[in-house]
Amino acid sequence: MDTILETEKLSKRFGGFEAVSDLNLRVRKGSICAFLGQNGAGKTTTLRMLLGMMRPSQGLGRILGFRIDDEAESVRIRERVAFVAEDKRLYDYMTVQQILRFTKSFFSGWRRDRESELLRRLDLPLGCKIRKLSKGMRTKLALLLAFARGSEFFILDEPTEGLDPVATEMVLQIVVSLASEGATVFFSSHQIAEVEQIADHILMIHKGKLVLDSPLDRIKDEYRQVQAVIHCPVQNRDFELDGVERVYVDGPTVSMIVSHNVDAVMDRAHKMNAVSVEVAPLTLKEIFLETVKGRP
Amino acid sequence: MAKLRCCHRRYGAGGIIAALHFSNFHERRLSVIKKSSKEIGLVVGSVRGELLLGSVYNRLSASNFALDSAVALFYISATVFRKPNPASGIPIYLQIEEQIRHAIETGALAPGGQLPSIRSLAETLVINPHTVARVYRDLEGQGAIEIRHGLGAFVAEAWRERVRTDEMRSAQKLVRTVVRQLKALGLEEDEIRRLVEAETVEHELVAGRP
Repeated sequence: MDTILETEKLSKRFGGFEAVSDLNLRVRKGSICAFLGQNGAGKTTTLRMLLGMMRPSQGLGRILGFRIDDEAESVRIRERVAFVAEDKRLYDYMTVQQILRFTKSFFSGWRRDRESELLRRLDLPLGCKIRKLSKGMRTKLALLLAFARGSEFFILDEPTEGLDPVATEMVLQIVVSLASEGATVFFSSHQIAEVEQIADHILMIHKGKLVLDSPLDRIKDEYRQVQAVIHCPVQNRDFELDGVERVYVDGPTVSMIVSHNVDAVMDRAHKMNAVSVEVAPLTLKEIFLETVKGRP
Repeated sequence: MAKLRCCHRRYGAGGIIAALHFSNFHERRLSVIKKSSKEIGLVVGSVRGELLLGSVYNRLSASNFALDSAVALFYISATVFRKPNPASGIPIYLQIEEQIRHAIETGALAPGGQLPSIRSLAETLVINPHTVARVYRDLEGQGAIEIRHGLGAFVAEAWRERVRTDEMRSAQKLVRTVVRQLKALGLEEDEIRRLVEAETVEHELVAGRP
């Protein structure tokens, strides 16, 4: 099976507010897929629907072939998908050792080797009560509990939030190891640099709608900023071409964000007697800012 | 430039040992590798021209992981692979591809030499394993490396004639001189790199792909 997660017109309304609308997502098996969006874009709402913690107002979704809106099938999903929630909630009254013993009793595929490796690398105090752990330690523990489950699919809501750079790099390395073993990882993050480092596919949402769905390599290969200097009067509609996402005209300078079809855009600029045409690559951060900027 | 050859031996579930043969390897760099290997829980020993790595852990996969990391570390310190810059606008696979091709062209990776496994290179550079797989596939397509299934990736023997070590060395000298001159003119390293990139990658950007 090629697809591990898919949704069709998934929507969630809170009263008159549409938090998520008509979302068509697809995550391929074996991928490290990043889920990007501003605060309040609907990422956490989407993840909560996927894991059966919230009912969709409309639409369908399947993970590993199980329906997310069917109670019995949703239980199967939660058995097989390792999830780390945004709030990293854990049982405060237990010690690290106790929650490890408690959690592993539920999962037959528990990876003892990974548990001991991670305990050593993440440097967690076994005897300490969870209540007394720092925020970073708590995040590390929540990740350990997920990573050691031996799942084939990991859904992580901001896994590196609040971690120091050393712990962040370690978590990213573990994600890479999981993917090397064939597992799929779907994670949300605000850290664009780490997304660029490990993800192979980007899903970006804005105000509940999908605005970008593409392999990262293709984004890097095809997204370009084109800047042309044209001395005759230019209007935005002169560059209404396939692939042109944004046009800014400032005097004789025309700047464009182009998602594909750079050749045609350059042709057009040359036909308009441009005195100079420059093409530059864009970083994911710039693409993110341009994609969410000024959208209704 | 250091040359190395890896012999990766595994013994049952009890433990693992790897012997890494090297020649002309810088002593100071070697001590860094030894130190890092110890940090990831390996037993380290060395005899003349050979670094021995063993594992104290009995669990096969945990020690496999540590050992793979050490082997990758060894290669990377030897061939000076750098972590890619994800924010550079140039796709990571191109950055890594370039590094490996450079290592082959300068002779840092000798024909027949083994490259780290996809997994260990991905873990060491902390990048997507599919990216490493793509790099190896592309390099195989270019005839620079050979993938022997179940064994790993090796620098192609046939590449030998194409290794232009001497040309690369004299080119390196030229570049070094130019860079020194540009610096004397007051240009920053970043600016120099951009100038070189502008001269060489413009057609790539337009075509979308090299």
